[in-house]
Amino acid sequence: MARTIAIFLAALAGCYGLNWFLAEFIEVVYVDYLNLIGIAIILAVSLNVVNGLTGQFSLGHAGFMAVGAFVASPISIWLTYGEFESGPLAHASLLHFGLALLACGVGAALVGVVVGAPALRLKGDYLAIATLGFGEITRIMLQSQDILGGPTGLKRIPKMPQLPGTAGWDGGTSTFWIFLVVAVLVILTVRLQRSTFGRALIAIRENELAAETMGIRSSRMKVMAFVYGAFFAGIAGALFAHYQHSVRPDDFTAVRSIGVVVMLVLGGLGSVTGAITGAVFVTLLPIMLRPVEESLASSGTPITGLSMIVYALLLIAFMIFRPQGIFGQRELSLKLLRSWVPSAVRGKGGKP
Amino acid sequence: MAEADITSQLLQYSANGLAKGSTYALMAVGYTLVYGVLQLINFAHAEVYMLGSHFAYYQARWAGYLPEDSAGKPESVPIGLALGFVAVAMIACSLVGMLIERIAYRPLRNAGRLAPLITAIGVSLLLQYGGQAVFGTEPKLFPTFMETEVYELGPIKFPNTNVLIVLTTVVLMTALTLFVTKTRPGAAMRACSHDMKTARLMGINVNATISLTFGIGSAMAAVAGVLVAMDQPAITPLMGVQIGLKAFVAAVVGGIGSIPGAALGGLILGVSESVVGGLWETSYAEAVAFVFLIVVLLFKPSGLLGKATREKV
Amino acid sequence: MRTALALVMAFMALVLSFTPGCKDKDPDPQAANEIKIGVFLSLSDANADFGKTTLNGIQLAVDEINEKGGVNGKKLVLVTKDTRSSPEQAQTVAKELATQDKVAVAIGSVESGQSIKAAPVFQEAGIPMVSPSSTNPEVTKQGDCIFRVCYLDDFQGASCAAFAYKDLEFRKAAIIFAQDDDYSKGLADFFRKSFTALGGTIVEEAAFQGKASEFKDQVTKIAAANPDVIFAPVYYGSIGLIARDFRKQGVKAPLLGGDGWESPQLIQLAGETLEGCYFGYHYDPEDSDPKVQGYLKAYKAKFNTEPNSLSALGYDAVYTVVKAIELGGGDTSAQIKDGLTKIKDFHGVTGTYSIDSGRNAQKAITMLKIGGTDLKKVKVIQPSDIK
Repeated sequence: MARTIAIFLAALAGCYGLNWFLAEFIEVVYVDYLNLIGIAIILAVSLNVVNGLTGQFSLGHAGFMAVGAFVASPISIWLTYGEFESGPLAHASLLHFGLALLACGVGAALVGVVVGAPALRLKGDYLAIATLGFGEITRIMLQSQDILGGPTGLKRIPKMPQLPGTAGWDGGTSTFWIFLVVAVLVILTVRLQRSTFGRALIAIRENELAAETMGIRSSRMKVMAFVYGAFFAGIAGALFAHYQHSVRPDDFTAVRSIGVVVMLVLGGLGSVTGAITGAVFVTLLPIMLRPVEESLASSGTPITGLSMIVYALLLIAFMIFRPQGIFGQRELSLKLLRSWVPSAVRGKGGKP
Repeated sequence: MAEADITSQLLQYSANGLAKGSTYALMAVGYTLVYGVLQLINFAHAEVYMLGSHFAYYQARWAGYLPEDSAGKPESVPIGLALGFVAVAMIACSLVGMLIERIAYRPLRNAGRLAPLITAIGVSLLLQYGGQAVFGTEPKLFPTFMETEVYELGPIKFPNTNVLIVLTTVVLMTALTLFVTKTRPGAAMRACSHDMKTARLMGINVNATISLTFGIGSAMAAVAGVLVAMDQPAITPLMGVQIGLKAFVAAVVGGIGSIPGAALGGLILGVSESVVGGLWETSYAEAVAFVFLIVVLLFKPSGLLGKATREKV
Repeated sequence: MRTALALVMAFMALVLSFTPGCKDKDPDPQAANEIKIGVFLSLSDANADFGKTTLNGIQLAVDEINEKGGVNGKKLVLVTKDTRSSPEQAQTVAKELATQDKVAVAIGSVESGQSIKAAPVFQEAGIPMVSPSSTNPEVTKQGDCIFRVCYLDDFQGASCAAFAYKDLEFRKAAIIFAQDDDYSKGLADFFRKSFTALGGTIVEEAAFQGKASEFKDQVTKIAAANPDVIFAPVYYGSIGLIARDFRKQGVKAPLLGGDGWESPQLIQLAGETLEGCYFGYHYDPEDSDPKVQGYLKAYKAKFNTEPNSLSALGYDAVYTVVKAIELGGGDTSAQIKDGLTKIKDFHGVTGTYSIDSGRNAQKAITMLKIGGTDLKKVKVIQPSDIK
């Protein structure tokens, strides 16, 4: 217990330090990319518990994100301003933000139970397509709720709570909150993987029937994994909404759900570090390719969507040459890094 | 609203849904065939559909049947030539389909199920954005292959393009079913779908059979692309996204791997979307498709006409 | 533990890879002889056409101004970013424009959804943002740095309703709109409100998803209600298909729409099916005003295509900004912002307009009637007519 608290405190301090460092020394756009990466990591690591660890194929992560965003945003707008009119942005207070996050996590988790309990009876691609359906239904239903802003969605979502000693763009706090959630999620997930629960999930992935004969109540376990994923997807949605200060149902299309699965497969399904790496790659690649496109456009030969074309080509090539993803099911470790170095370079130390 | 009104509206919605469902069915066949053999959701199929209509469009344009400037009116394409355009589009799409399989899926045949899924997404993105770069992003007027005529059957109005869609679908689906059940290549396809390793041991050229599967599915998508473009004559590089998702849902509802299932799934989806959406709230029509899907899957997880798979222990 | 160590190391590596992005402690003041204008538009994906045509208009204006020696001897320089038709991406590129390129003023975007996502960024940076054609009322409410040079959806919806009720004397209207599109849904709401307030009835409404390419069910639904006029606030890519479907179902009632209809391709995509229909627009293309004709001629000469309303609004946005530089007395963000609030009776291609206290352009709407191959002005509705 003491160790957990120590780790948590270290994470808190680390996030504050990171936040301070970025706000102080790094250009806003790069901090922006990093924050987007942080949100992507939350999505990928939480989906990894369902898709990687438990071996279920969910394609509805964006749906839970939408639930989270549309539960948290009205709460925090109402608590902060007391009205839904447009106006200048303010920081949410710590209490209000905490309440909103908690509510959205619980809301998304509840939806997770309602969707997961029946849907998880399905297997493989059938589950995938059913969860995809759930995401689309959520999006379409949200669009027709005029009280939630209809297709335009909600605006004037407060900034995340101010921290002592930070300043800068947007109050310079987003990175802290986003990466705090990242840290909590990663710590929890790594511990979960090593717990009885985590082993049970892995057993279900490897052989559900055998797991059941060993006394694992697989449907219950699967729903629990699903709810875990939904909870954090909901939080990711809320962070996204507060980060962008506005949110619309169309921010959560099937494309986003598919994107999270791409992150997982790219990084190596079943590996936390793989999920993180995948999230970094998938978020960063199109951004890094954009300058190429822009320089072509300014030199007079614009190619529409060039960066996405290159992104697609890289995705195909990468999967063909490394179908198990960057890490496979393994975690990033010094040992794994060493095994990547060709034995010729390593000299005699390598395995024969 | 009077009772007769509701009945006639219901009939009209069913007629609309019939045409829509037929195009879903044509597309669903491509998904279902590939899934049956490779257990792969071929996301790129929707983009092949898009290519089908664009190939036909460019042939007509090069043949001079479309005005050069945006103000001019298009000429009608003679029926023989139009059929030729469609045939070329079908062949071209078949080649594209086979090429996609050769480059993006074949190297990954033994790499598990998810890696090819990701390359499928990659190919799909590539064709969407490549399409935007090559064809341009503005909607294009599709050439007139057939002057519009509207038939009236009592209260129902049914345009000739829709008649053509339904008839073509029936003919093609029948032909395909016969092909798969009665011919040797068809038997080879079924064998691969059943058990690829054993099929190889029995002397079946698995690679050629899979190529054939992709070729046939893509040709069907090309036809669907042209038919829809004739009915709704504005085409864009992103036209496949929506119908692709629906068609895949149709394939799953009908029972993936089954050709009659694809037809049934397509029709049920099309008609229920139109009827439920029309009588209730049109904006919910999309959601209806997915609610329907989830309900079917919960009660019959392998789809309406799918074979129940037993877990291998 | 080793995993954790490796994780932390990898993360540090990621952060360190950003070091090229270290803050310039000595912010580079704008090069003395240029004024940077940031532009963010959909240049690829679903709405690429909107962005490209707007950009043409902006480019034309900038080239004209630079050829004449620029503004106060300074050249206008465009920094263009593609939002990929995604509001989320719009916010990211807005941050790039505001903090990396440090533009003096930003122009964009067409889609209200993108403008709303980008607005808080420019507001935070204190950089004025001028939307050429986001008509959703919410856009300029996002802060006092957010302006626009087009009319609003509430005015446009009310004008269409008044035109249908008073001028065309229709009493039964139906609405077909895109459920997931701010523009379409907003116009539909305002039309409904105004039309019923005038005493008319909305006999039927049918919505679709914006990406739909097929409207048979919506059309069937509306046909059964037998309306006098059908309000269709959609974009030109859809209206042709919608009109075709209506005529196939034997509906003869005229269609009425907003500025989203306008495109050189409109009549071609719709065939004859839009003959006798009306839509509200920013200006009359046949206007003999030398400003309009000069613009049309210059655009055709430069791009070899017909311009559309978006090009004209982009064109006007640039000239409005230039005017603001003159009125504000300089080309810093604060001065331009100040100047924008002082725009009065500005004579542009899309009419003569002033910027009101809500930072919106007060301008007239021109109702056009579609003939065989041309558009005819039937009425001009002033903001003062709708109250």
